[in-house]
Amino acid sequence: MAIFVLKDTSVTVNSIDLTSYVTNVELVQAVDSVEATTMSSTSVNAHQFIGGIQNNMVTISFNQDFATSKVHATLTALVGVQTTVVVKPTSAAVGATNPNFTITNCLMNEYRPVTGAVGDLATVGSISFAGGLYTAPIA
Amino acid sequence: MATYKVTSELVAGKSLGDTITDDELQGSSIEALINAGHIEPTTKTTKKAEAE
Repeated sequence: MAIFVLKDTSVTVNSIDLTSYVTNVELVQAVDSVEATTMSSTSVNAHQFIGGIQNNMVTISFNQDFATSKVHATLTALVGVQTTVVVKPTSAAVGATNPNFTITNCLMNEYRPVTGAVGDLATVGSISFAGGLYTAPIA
Repeated sequence: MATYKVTSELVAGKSLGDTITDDELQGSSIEALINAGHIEPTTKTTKKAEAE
């Protein structure tokens, strides 16, 4: 796959395909930096870090929909509940050039059902799913 | 293995009226899915109920 423009990035939250409501998505694969600097007369004058446990984050912005079993119903039921978020660069089949970025056991601890100013499109303020285990299966 | 009836059009890989298992929902909160109206438990008919 060459470089490409994001147009149909697939986003699934708690097994619910919310792709058609997503306006922005950012997935951060991260680990904690754990200080491992020691006393030493020979070491360089610098902190030393080693990789700690995973500290991933998925941040998503949605257009809001209060209809039955749509965006609001899906998200409000997930506040404070561990879940799985799957982000796929395109809606095409999963493969080496279209991995299934998956964060399992992540948590949304805050949800803003109404966000915006007069005249704005009704949206969900960007919400974050924190923690969880990162994988990117290609099959 | 518990099964659920799909009651919304947004369940990934399923259509309205399909059946989905808890294995397929691994990693997802089934309680949240039920509360949001995406799935509902299927009621199993017991042998005792069938006899009546």
